[in-house]
Amino acid sequence: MKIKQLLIIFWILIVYIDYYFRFLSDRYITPILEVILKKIGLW
Amino acid sequence: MDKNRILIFILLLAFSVRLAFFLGVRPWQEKVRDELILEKSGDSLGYHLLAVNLIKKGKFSFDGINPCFFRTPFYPIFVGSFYLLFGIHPWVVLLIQILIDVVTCWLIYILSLIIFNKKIATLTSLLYTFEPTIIYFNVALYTDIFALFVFMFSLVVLVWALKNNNLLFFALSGLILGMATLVKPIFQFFPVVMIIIIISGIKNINIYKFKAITLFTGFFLLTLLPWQLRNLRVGGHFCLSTISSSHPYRTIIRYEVSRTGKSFKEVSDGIGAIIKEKMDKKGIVDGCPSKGEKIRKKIFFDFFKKYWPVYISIHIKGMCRLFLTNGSYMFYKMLGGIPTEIIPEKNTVDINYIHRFKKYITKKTMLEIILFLLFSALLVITYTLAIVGFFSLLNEKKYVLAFSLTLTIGYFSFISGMVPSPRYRIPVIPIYLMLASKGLLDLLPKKRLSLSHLS
Repeated sequence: MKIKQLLIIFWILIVYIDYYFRFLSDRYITPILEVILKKIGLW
Repeated sequence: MDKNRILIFILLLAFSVRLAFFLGVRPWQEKVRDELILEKSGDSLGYHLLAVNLIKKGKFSFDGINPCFFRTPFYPIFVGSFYLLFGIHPWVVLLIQILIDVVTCWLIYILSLIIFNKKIATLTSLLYTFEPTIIYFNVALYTDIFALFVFMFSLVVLVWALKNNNLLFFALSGLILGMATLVKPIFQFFPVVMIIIIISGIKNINIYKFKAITLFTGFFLLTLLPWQLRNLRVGGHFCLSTISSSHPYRTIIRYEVSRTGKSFKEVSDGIGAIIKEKMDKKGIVDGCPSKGEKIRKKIFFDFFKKYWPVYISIHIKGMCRLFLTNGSYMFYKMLGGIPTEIIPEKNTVDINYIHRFKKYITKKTMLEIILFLLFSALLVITYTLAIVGFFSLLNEKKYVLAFSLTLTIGYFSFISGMVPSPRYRIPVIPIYLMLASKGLLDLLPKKRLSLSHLS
């Protein structure tokens, strides 16, 4: 398997878990996205 | 011939998947019709009433007395015409919508065939066949499926015009986009995006560019004109619909909800009361669109001036949410399940995930969990592939195309950011599916291709 494909599978897993956390907690957006938005000062 | 057979197979598949969902929902049953299809809290009941009053009293009105300015006319006319033909049965309209959506699937194939190639076109239409949000709204009395059909038609004509440098097709594209706007006013500012696409798509011929844009815009505005004149004549207000002022206004409500912790309905009623008081003071009769809209717009602009950073933040969160909601909840409800409510806690910042997980696993039913996991997996994979597709477009130096597609996605997410629901994602679904197919074909090993090349 190419590194590119592995990276993408890894990325999908992270985003998927992140997404799952959002659903568990009935949050407005996912936890990782929230951290990013906070960093930019939009949260 | 072989490829055509694949296309016919995909279209038949699209039809059968949608039909299966239709049969599963059973919209012809009275209970399903009243509780789900013509849900009281949704917009569908409004479209139904507009259509019924249109054919029975010949008036575009919710109650048969006061004229309606909130909606644009094409969808109620579409629904009404089938009511006229087959009697007042919403399920007939839903069945027609399924047929229309199969045509949309074909249009998406054509669009990606013109933009990319046959492989991507086939894959895009295949992905579209199984897109859950689309399947769901096929069996809902909402404008979206019909609007997507008209919108895709106009995009196909525009891309055709750009490819063949045909002025007549630019005019036709403007006319069809105008019709799409009369189905769903979300497209009303989209000509700006299309003009940018036209400018970047035509190389060097300046007078030709000018002609194309004039024809496109001219025919677009000309299509909207009759309805705007009707609003001017009946309501004294030259506008397409009063919905554009009601959406930003919802942001204020959302802000108040997050600030005060009250429910959406409480806040909405509160602001509604303020508007009513203001209208009463000025002696304005409720229902008069021009004055009511002015007050609503004023409230919104006052809010924006005061709290613009808050507004922008809410808007961006809304845009994120637009792409995050997966719709498994409504799917479950439509198939006869009663979604389990997990009451959100007020302070969502510090949450114990283990506690949450236990609560979630014990309360939600197995089917709900499986649906959620499947739907979100599909969503996450599609988005990832779309991002890959976008970068591979940049790699191939197809900047104009990448820019046009991003601009289209950006337009709809920006406009709908105020009302985040999976429904508002529908116009961009074909666009990101195209990018996703491009990404998928890029990632797949190309061994087979080189082997066939050798032989």
